[in-house]
Amino acid sequence: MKIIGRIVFLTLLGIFLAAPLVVVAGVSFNGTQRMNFPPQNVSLIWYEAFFNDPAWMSAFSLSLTVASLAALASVSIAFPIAYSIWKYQSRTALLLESIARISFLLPSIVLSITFLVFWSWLGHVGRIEDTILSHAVVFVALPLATIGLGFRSVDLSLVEAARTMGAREGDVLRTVVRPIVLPYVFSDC
Amino acid sequence: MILGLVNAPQARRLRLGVLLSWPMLSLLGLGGIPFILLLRISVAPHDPNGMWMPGVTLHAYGALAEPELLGALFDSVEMAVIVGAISVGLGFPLTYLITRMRRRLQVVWLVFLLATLSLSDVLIAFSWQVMLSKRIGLSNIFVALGLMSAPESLTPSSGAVIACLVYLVLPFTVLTLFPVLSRLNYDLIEAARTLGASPWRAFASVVVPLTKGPAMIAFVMAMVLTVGTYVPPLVLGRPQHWPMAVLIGSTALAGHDLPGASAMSMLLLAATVLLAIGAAQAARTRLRKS
Repeated sequence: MKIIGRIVFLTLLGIFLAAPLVVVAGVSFNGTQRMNFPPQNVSLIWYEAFFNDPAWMSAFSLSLTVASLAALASVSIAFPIAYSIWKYQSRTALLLESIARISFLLPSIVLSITFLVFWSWLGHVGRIEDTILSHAVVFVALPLATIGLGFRSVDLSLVEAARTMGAREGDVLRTVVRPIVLPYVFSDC
Repeated sequence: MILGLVNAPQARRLRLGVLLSWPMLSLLGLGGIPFILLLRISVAPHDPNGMWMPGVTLHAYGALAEPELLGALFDSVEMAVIVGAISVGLGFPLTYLITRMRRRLQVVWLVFLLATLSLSDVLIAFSWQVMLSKRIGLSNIFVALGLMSAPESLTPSSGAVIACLVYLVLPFTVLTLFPVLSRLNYDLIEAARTLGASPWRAFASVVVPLTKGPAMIAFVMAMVLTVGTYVPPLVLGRPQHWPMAVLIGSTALAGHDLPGASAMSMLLLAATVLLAIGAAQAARTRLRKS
């Protein structure tokens, strides 16, 4: 009885989570201009249209550029903070971390208005750099959390062992810390 | 060897300074300054053919007392509480069940949730619109099941907005709760059961106290995310129930009234902070009682 209830609950939630994806993907394969589900006259004409339209393609590549540059910038801000907390227990870094957390917890519309006001004050509105930097700062909390997690999963006895065997600070970082933390850094990008 | 002459605390400070200069510059420059500017603009006079004018006025704050705006604020708060409650209500048992699955199934569920998390809110709002449409939507299934007599469009409606927002927020809820629930010591529950506690009592006296804090964090996070969303209520909601976020957007973009939008943002921010403090307070008093 209990198991059935469990399975029903999980199945319903699974359907709830998958349905929008399935429907949108299905509709995109329609051969006509009408929204049909399941799709009729299955074809890829909409994908052809998309990839052949320069306006759509430039919007698409712009989205990808913004996303990847913002992710890189975000990690470049988060990594030094996470490292300083792990290595030096720096209070400044802890403060920066809480600032990053707070900015992530502000309602996104308030953030948008804040940045709109800020960039128009600088007379710099509507540039792509604005979008990249704004996104990078707002989302710092995410890489900060995962990279922090990465540093915390470094076993300190490994670092100790490396030092005992005569490794210098740089060697420790390169041989012990880097392989453990790197996957966490990439997961953010 | 200049560095060799510097003593240890100084070297530490020097290194930290180098390490943290870029993060500090970017976080304060793009976080602190814009926020102070937002405060400043909210008390500036509105300039109809530009952005704002020098001077100080409380006009924008006076305009906040309009019944339409207060109604929108109420709608925002109501929506936040409902979405927060549903997300935690569904997310808690879901996370619990996931933590008790086999390792491989766990990974499948978590990857699945992360995949939905990576979709933009614009895309999700659009898919809900398609799913609730008259032509191919959910109402057709209801008709087939005999629950409705004819297919109809289920948007715009508050239910559609709430469904879409729960969809957006649920992965965050699960990922917040997962670390706590997966580290939960199940021996404690076992012990309570051996001592004669009913399953429900064991849950209430062992699991609830251990997970209350993170559950409240998940609830507050769900509320904050809900309050800030712009696209789902705009696409799926009724215009008379548009929340503050949509009104702020239209004031700034269509109305070109930055002081007005700034003042409304401050109001929404204050309401959000009060909601979060209220939730934390409620969690604390409950904790003392139990």
